[in-house]
Amino acid sequence: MTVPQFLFFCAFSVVALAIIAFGVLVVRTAQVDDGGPFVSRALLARLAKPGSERAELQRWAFYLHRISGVALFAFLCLHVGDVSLFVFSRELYDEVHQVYGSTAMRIGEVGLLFGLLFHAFNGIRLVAVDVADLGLVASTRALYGVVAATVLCGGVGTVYIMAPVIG
Amino acid sequence: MRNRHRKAGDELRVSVTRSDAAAADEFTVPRIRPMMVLDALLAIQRTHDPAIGFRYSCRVGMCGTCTVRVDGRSVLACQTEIPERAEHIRIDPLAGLPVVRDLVVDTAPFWQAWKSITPYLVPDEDAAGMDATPAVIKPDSAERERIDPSLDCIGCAACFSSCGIASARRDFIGPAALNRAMVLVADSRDTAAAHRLDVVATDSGVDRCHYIYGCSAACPKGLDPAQAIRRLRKWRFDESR
Repeated sequence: MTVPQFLFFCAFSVVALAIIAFGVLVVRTAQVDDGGPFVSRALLARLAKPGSERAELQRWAFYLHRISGVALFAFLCLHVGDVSLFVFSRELYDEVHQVYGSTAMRIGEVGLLFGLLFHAFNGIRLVAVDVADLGLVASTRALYGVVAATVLCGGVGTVYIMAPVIG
Repeated sequence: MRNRHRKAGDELRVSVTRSDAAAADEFTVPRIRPMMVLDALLAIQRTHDPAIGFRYSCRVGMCGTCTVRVDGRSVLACQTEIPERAEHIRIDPLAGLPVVRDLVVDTAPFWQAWKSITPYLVPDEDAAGMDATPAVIKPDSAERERIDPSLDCIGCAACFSSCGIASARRDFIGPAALNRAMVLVADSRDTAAAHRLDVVATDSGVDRCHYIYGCSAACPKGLDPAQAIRRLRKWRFDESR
């Protein structure tokens, strides 16, 4: 690994750590403020019941939407930086972008893909709540659809991203 | 009258958030069936710590005084039955409101938000007074059907505490006040709708809602504040409401 590649990898690691730290902050703040998200047997028992109790899932969707939003923004900043290297040197650009082919970066890209898909689909769900006037039950069902679409599309994308390193 | 009986050796462990770090916060109380959360709090007060702080009044779900969080869920303590198989529950004060002591919170922020939307009917001057003809909204009218399901708010603040925005002190009027605003905006006898719509359109208003649906899920009276917020969002741009 060359020095520019190492520096880029360090920058990516810093972004990844910042995203994780933000996620921890969101959940810990929620434990203090919101009153809902105690990860406990009581919460799981509530989610197991059909009806309004499962609306609690939408609270977690809200947290995940925030975390994925910050993650996408943070990565976008980094990505703008590494793409702009082309202005300075084409060789440097190619050298740094070889890092994207490493296994560690591909795992990061898979995480990013899931974040992007969830953020996009959940954003559409929130627009639908307003436009189609979805109530509590319908919007919870729409969230199931968001999760299913994220897992499905993310799974396909994961195969494409990881195929070169898995074989 | 309910048939309350106690099984021998049956006990319930209750964790209570205390404002005094030195005060006991774990209690074991005798289990009765059915047992409300308020029963557990009263048992703690009676047998363990008379100084434990909590509020209650009517005991029938009308006054909205005894709201607490049980295992994270904002509920009326007097109306919430402890699950049959539960051996342990955790009780916290409401979220998003300053704690006065133990489970007692200062509800001033909730009522300030309530006040901001002018929570009472403002009639036309000609319609007010002893000599005026009473204005009537027919029971079977669309207007009445819109208003009625949202009328029974008891101001318990369970929705406020369950809202991920209001409870995090993010400058949000909150579900209860917006539900009240919707009721009054929908009322043809009211003349302050334009003012209320201006208030709900501010940065602290309906656009702060992220549709977490904690409010509608938590309301002990079965109201749907999220629906009221969705309506207000549309009515801002719809003069023909």
